[in-house]
Amino acid sequence: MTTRPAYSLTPAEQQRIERIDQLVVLGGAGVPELLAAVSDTSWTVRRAAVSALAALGDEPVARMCAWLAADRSSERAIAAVVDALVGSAGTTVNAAAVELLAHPNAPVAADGASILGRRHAIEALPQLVRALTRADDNVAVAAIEALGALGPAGVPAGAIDPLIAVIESRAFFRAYPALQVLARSGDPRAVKPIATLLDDAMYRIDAISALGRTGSALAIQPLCALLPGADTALVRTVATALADLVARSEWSGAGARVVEGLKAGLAPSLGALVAALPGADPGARAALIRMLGRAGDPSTVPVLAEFLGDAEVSALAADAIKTLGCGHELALLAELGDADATTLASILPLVTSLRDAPAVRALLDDSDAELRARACEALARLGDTEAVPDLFDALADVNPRVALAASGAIQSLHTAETAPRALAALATGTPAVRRQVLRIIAYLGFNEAFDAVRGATADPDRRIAELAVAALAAIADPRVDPMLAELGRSSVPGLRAAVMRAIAQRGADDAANQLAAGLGDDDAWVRYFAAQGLGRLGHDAATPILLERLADAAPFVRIAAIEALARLGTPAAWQALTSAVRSQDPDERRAALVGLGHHPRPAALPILVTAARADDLATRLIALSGLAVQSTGEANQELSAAAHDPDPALRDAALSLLAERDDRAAVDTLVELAFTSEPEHPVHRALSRPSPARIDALAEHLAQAGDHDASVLAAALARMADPRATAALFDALGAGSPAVRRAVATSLSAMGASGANAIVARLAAEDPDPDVRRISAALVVSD
Amino acid sequence: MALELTPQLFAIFATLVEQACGLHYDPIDRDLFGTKLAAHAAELGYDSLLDFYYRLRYDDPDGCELQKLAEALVVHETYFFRELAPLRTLVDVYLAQAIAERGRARVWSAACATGEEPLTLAMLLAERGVLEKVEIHATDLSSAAITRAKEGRHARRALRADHPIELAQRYLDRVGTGMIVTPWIHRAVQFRTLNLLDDAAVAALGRFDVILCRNVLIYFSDALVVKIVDKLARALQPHGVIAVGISESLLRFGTSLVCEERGNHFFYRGAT
Repeated sequence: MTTRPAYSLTPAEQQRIERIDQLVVLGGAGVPELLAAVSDTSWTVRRAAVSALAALGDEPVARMCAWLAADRSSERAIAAVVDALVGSAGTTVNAAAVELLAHPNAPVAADGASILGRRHAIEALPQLVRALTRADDNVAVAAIEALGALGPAGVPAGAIDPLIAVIESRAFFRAYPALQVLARSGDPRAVKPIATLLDDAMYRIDAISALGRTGSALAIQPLCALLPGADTALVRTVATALADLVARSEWSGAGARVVEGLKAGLAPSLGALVAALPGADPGARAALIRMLGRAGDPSTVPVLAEFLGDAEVSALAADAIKTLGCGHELALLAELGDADATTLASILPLVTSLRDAPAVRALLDDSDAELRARACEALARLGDTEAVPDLFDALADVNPRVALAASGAIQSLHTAETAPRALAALATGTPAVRRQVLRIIAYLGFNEAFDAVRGATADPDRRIAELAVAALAAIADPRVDPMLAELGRSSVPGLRAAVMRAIAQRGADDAANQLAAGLGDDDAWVRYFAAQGLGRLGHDAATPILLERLADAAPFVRIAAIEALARLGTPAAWQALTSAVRSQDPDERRAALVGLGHHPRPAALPILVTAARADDLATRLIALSGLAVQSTGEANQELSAAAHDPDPALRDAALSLLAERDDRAAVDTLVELAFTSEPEHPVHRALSRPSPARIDALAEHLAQAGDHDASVLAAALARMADPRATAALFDALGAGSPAVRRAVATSLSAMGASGANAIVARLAAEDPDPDVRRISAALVVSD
Repeated sequence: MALELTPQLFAIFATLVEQACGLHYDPIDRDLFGTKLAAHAAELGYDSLLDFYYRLRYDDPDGCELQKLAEALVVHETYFFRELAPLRTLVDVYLAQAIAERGRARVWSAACATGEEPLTLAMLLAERGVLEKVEIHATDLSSAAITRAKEGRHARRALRADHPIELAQRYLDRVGTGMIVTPWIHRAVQFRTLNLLDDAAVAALGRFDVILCRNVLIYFSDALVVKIVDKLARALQPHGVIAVGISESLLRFGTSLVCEERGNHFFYRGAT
């Protein structure tokens, strides 16, 4: 019995539902009354009756089928009975539905087809194929839709040729649904017959979309052939279909072949694509921009650059320009003159030639802070060492994002003049500039800066003094350690805290003692950094004093102590972590979990599993990281569950953690996930990260796979674009299973693997399985 | 790199910020959030975001540091005459009606950033000759933005292409690389800092004929939008309306407000 939300029901409905619950208990005796309830005026009551009939298994099946064949009192009651049969746990339903399918009354037969399709009743394939020839369109259409849903992979191979025959018949009501089903079948045989419909104005638009949905490189030529001389509406439709084709081809590993095909196919029609851009809706505009990028002609860059300021498509335009590769800088820079901030911000990451550095440098004076920051980043990426003086000027920028970007660029470029300029700026710059300069010294560690930095430790500006201590830590000079010891006795707490960090960073002989002393400091942040430093040194002897800090009055000191204990390998530290995971404070719990994750001990597993189901995202993410290290069945199970989580952050983290491993358990987990996931699911991308162990594991799975699984695995190997993976696909052609040969032939052909054509031609002529021969023939003929 | 924002750090920072000031960040915003957060943390001298997080969480008793972070995160991008047509409708229909009935009207710009929106409204009211009859309150979470709004100096980008040239010439004066608003227009707007999560502060503002809450709800989670809209609805006069951005809609949140269309623009009225 299910619990229903009583607040949504009237008392009368509640009463009728309670009666339905009583009827379920009666079993067969309750069926007539339950069947009557499917005509109830209340949707909720009808759904309760449907659930009840489905739950009774075989008991009511014959009566329901008889009712469908004879009574059929109302549309809503028919829908309810069909739903009950679809959801039924009975074992006789499929056979009964086959009988309905053979019924002379067309609506009854159509219901039979619908039930079989929704139940994925693959054993009914012959009867459904026969139903395609029934005189009544409704029956044929129901059979077509059922064939489209029959197997777990969608359309079974045995349904393809009959569906092609439907298309070729051009029977008005039947051809459209057959077109839709064939388009998503992934079978190369479907492409040519769909393409023949392009000549017929009545079917053309649907055929264009269907060709896009095939994701097949074979569909590029017929689609591109429509472009020359087409009106803008048709060009937009074709571009949309091609964009769909590209997206789908990436799943099958055909991406590289599709790119080549598009370059050749779109070359004569660039003008048509450009002319279709003005006035296009956002979807078509995006598709047209994508296609201009794929066409591979740099002369379209100025057109694409115009869309960099269009918020809806700027990222696509940037991608398209990036796809077009080198040689477009001049066209981009022509845009710099009077472009708006959004356009400029989009252009900067695309500039790749040092030639253009002067134009980028000019943007360091722009009024838009984000642009100035991006210009700093671009100059670093271009390796423009001449920009260093300008970047030092940018350290004075009022916007911290810009100053930080300038500092990062200076660190990245690191020229001979960096040190003298840094010292000069440290001597004369504003406080903000001096802080940034000290950050640069802390990163690059100029030894000649010792005196200047020592002077800065006495600066009245607290932040300058603290950063100077950090910079000292990076300087290789024997005077540094004694000086840090002296500064550690400063009366300024912030300075003492900075000293703790510096001591830990340098790791001198006496560092552990100095940090241990810091644990007793009056200031909480000094204790915090001292604890952190002891963890960093991995000094096991510090365990007792760190354990004492678990009772510190300052919560962040307790957390630092937990983090430090997590880095030590002592039993007492481990014990402390297992206690801290039960803390009231979420940050203490998380710090302990991080520690448990570092140590792949079996005792940590139940704690991590529990944490992986916590309420807050951060705790769950930390637990998953720990579970990924454990590599046990239970840990993998949790990762697998997380990979299906509705929260994308959790799902992506789980997949990424699994994808980083190539042990058999991790690959098996990904494979299982892939079998039950839609093609768009990121698990497919994770599965296709190449590694020898993963290729071996996939090849083993492939050798035993059925229709659907074989196509998933072959596509994963194809997407790897790795010679070892391609070799594994060729090896799999020797498999006994026709399903494997079908999938592998399709994948090898789609990816355009060298030698694939000859092999596919041989399969077309010699393979013992007729479907393998037909699929291969389609691939050979259309190539 | 210690200032890198891992997914775990993003989760705890995003929660902290949302609890403090309602700003909601989805995982897709992580890079943007991380860039601003890193710049702010580095400016304060931190080289570890986790250290900064503990400072905010455990050693910021008056919430001052968290407030500064929130200000660093919020985009203060607005400009004069933005989405002008609905503002004209508000003036010509709702405010004109309130003035006709009671002789006065009150407007609240609930997230005014650097003030361009309420100042635009003041210009429209001045054009109609009723500015002195309308009390305009303008608030924002960011004290830095309010300080700039009070100064009355605006950047060149505060005026975009296709602005109404006559209005701009009449009420804006170019100064150096920026511009200032005609002083008597500027004086008509009362600027102050206000956190929309602060019930008492919102209640203290009183009731309004028009509340502008445009292009700001995108920063909040759905659950928080419902709460804030409910709060705004309670601050409406019986016939008052709330205006949201052209691309925003309150219908999907299932609030008690009633949507009505005036001059091709949608406004939300409290259920009567």
